[in-house]
Amino acid sequence: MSAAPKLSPEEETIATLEKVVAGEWVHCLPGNPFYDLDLSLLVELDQVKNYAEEDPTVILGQREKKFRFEIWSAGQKQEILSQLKARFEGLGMNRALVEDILSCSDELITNAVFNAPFAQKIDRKTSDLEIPGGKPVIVELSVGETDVMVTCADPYGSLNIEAFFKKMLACYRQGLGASINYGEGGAGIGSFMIFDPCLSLIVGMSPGKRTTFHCRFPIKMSSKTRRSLPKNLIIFKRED
Amino acid sequence: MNQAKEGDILKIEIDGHIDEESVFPELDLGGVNKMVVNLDKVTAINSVGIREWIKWSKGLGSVATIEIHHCPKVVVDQVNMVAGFLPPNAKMESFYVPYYSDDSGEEKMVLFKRGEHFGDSGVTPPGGLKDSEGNEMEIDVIEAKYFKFLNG
Repeated sequence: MSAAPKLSPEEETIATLEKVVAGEWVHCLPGNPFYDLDLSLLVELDQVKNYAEEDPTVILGQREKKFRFEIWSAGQKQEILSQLKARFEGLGMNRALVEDILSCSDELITNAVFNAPFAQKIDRKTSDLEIPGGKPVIVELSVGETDVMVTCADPYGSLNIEAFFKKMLACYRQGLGASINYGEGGAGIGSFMIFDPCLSLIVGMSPGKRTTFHCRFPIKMSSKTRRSLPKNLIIFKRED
Repeated sequence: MNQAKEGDILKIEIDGHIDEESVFPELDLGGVNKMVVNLDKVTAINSVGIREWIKWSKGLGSVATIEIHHCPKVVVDQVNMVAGFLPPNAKMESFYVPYYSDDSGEEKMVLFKRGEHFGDSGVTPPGGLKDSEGNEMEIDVIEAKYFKFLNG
C-alpha cells in the first residue's frame, strides 16, 4: 500500500477550504507553528467564552498588546496602516513580511468599513465615509513569543461565512491553475488577500452583533518558509 | 502619477498606495508608440486598487509597447495572481526579488533586469549575495510561483 501523495501548500489550503465550505470549521494542522490545538479543542467543546470579542487574550491567553485603534471613518485607514507599519518595523520584521501583513490588514479594514455595514453598495472613493451604528471598528495588534496577531472587529456581524469562504476557495482553485479572473463586482480577491499571507486565521462571529478576524503571523521567518507551511483556520459562529 | 512625453515615448511614474483613493488620470496617447511605466515607488496595492489598475490599463491598448520598470514585489504578486493584470502589450523590463538570510534575518531587494537576470529562456539569478555578516542570502520567494508571469 503506498502513502497518499504529499499535498502542496496550495492544495492543502484548498482541501481545508473545501471542508470549511462543507461545514467543518476547525482546522489545526500539525505542521503549523501556531498549532492552536488547545484552542481547537476548546472550540469543539464550545468552551471559549466571548470568542468573538476583539480582545485576542480571550482566545489565546496573555499577550502583549501593542496597538489599539478605533475606526469611525474610512479616511482613517492610511493612518492606521502607517502606525501598524512602524510597529512591525520596530519588531525587526523583514520588509516582505511587513508588506504582506499590511496587505492583509488593508483588506480587513476595507472589509469592516465598506462591506460589513454597506455590503457592496457603496462608493469606495469616499474617504470621509463614516461608519453607521454608533460603535467603531476595532483594529488591534498583539504580540506573543514568536508571533504577531492583527485583529479587526466590526460591530455588525453581517459576514456571510459560507459565501466568504466559497469565494476564497474559488480564488485558490483558479490561482492553482493559472490566475484569478477579476470580473465585474470582484472575485473574492479581498478574502484571498486576507488569508493567503497569514499562517492562522481565526474568525469569530455573532450574527447581527460582531465579526472578528484574528490573523496570525510569525515575527521572524523567511517568506519562502512561511508560504510553504500549512495554514490553520478556525471559525466560530454563535449567538451571544 | 508623474508623466513626461519625449517624442513618441510617454514616461510615467506611479507612486504610493494603489487603492480606492487612487486616481489614474486620462492620458493623451495621441502619437504615443511606447510607454515606459516606472513602479519603483509603489508601496502597496489592495483589492480595490487592483480593479482600478485593470480599468485604467485596459485603456492603453492603442500603445504598441508598454515597458514596466522597477516593479516591486507587491505588484509582481498581483501580476502572478490576477489574470489580465498586465495588458497584452506590456512587457516586464525589471522587477524586484527579495533575498533573505536565515542566519541574520537580513533582507535585500534585488532588481532583476531583462537580458541580465531574466529573458525568454528563463531566469538567471545573481549568485553570491551576502548579508552584513558574510552569510549567504537566498531568494525568498517560491520561485515557481513568483517567476510564473515570465512564462507568459
